[in-house]
Amino acid sequence: MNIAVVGSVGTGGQRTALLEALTAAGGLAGEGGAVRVWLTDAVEEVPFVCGDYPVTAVFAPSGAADTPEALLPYLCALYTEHAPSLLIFAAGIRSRALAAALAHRLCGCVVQDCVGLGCVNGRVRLAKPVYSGNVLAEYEAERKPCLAVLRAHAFPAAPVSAGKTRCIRKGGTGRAEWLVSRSVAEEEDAGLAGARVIVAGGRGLRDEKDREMLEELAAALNGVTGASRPPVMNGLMGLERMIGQSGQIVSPDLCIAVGISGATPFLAGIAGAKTVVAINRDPDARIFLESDCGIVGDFREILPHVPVIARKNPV
Amino acid sequence: MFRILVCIKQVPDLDMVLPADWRAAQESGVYEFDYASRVINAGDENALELALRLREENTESETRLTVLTAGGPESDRALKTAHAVGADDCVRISAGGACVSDPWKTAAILADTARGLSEFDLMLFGSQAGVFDSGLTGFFVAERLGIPCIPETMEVHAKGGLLEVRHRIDEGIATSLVRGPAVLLCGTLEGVWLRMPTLKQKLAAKKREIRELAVPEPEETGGLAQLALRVPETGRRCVMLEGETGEEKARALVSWLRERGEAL
Repeated sequence: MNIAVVGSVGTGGQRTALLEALTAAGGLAGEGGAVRVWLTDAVEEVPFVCGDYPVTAVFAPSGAADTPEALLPYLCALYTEHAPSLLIFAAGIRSRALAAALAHRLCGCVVQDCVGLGCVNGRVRLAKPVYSGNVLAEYEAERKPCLAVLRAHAFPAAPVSAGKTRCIRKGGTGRAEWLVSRSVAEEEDAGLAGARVIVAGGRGLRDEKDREMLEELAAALNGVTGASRPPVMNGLMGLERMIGQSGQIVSPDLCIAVGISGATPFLAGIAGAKTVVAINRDPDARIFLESDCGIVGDFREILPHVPVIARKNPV
Repeated sequence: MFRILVCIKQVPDLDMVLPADWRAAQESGVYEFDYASRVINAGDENALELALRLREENTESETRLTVLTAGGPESDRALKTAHAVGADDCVRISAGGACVSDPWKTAAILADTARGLSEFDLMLFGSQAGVFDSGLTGFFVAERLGIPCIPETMEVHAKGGLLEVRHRIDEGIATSLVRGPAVLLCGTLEGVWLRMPTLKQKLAAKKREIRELAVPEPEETGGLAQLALRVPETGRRCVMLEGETGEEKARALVSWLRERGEAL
């Protein structure tokens, strides 16, 4: 099968997402199949992450923001040139927009949040979470091309290898008439992506004192704090800390879920955690069904003791 | 006149569904949960709230807010809520059941309807709607209408005849000054939730008219055949730690974590 992998290398997160997409593509291309990489950011040199795959970089004209309008004509042209049956998009916001618009223009089919890819009798099969992550749906592509936007961390990242092939750069001329100006500020990074330990709070958090309690435990464990949806919606924790289907998908070694009932979108966000510990007052909370270790009780009476006990009883 | 369209979808509140019922649904193949309340999809609620805030702060011109949904009469409940919180006009488009589960079809009827209504400056959607979570409808509508689509919108303001949109991109938080019309998509937002209508507003909404538009079901599909639905298992088995006091429980937790190799 001929496959195009579409992604970016601009940030660490984007590079990881691209490596994950390369894993997905490598497993499907099979004998005689080809994998090409189409980068959607302006790169000067062959990116070292893409191994032996031929790379084409498409990018917005200088001075124009990289809107889909600037990039889509070039992706359409690349599709006409190479006609891949499957386009795998690395997880990301730009990917979601590009894939949906490109699928519509090419009259193909597209799946967002793809967590599984396969091929049966020459037809692409895709798996994605539905019903807020409670159910996994399997689809078969009835039209070509098929476009799949991967969910972050659904596939392991391919090993980084030195690029050997040439990189063809295609600069765009399309400017988005609708965009008058754009400024970009760096988003505060809560450090969830690479965190080994995450202490996450949920609806049970009442005030800043509760949040500080989580922060102290996280500091004692050399970890960071995260949140399910309610503390973000009530402004107690920043959006950059939200874990879940519409937040970040994380894969720490340890996640301590504090005062979190276990709504499915949150569970989807921590599915990749090696160990999940839950502390909740409600013995019937769903989070206990999806955890490795549980404590029924008020976290305010438990958490402050943890660092103290650990200090007093060194290993 | 500044016109805003907000597209909403009524969905079952899936947080109410018991874990055992998902497994039962897998066995029966019927994923219907009558006891789950019908609510406006969370992202759509945020979209509606952003639209209401924009109308309140927009002193540049009179602002009119129309709410659209595609679905049967059961969706009137969501539209009544929209009326109660302040929508000027609510429209329900009925086009057959398949429309609501195939984003390609939904986008076709929403785009055609939007085109048929008077010109608009802004169209807002939730990023994705519960049940099938396709995350595609807003993008497809924008493509059909030939207008831009900005995902991950956090704020929108009217500024000198333009739209100032604060939105997340892969590289950070962007502030874009945009010439409308445009489609904006909203997910979960910090400090944003749909306002609660008062009882008086709810009662008043009951008397408001919901416009119904019947359109033929589009023939084209999204090109995906659904083969199977299954409930994933995490494979975790929970060990419950006991203790009389908080301190005892903390002690049990420290021991358990150390047994698992945590440096604590």
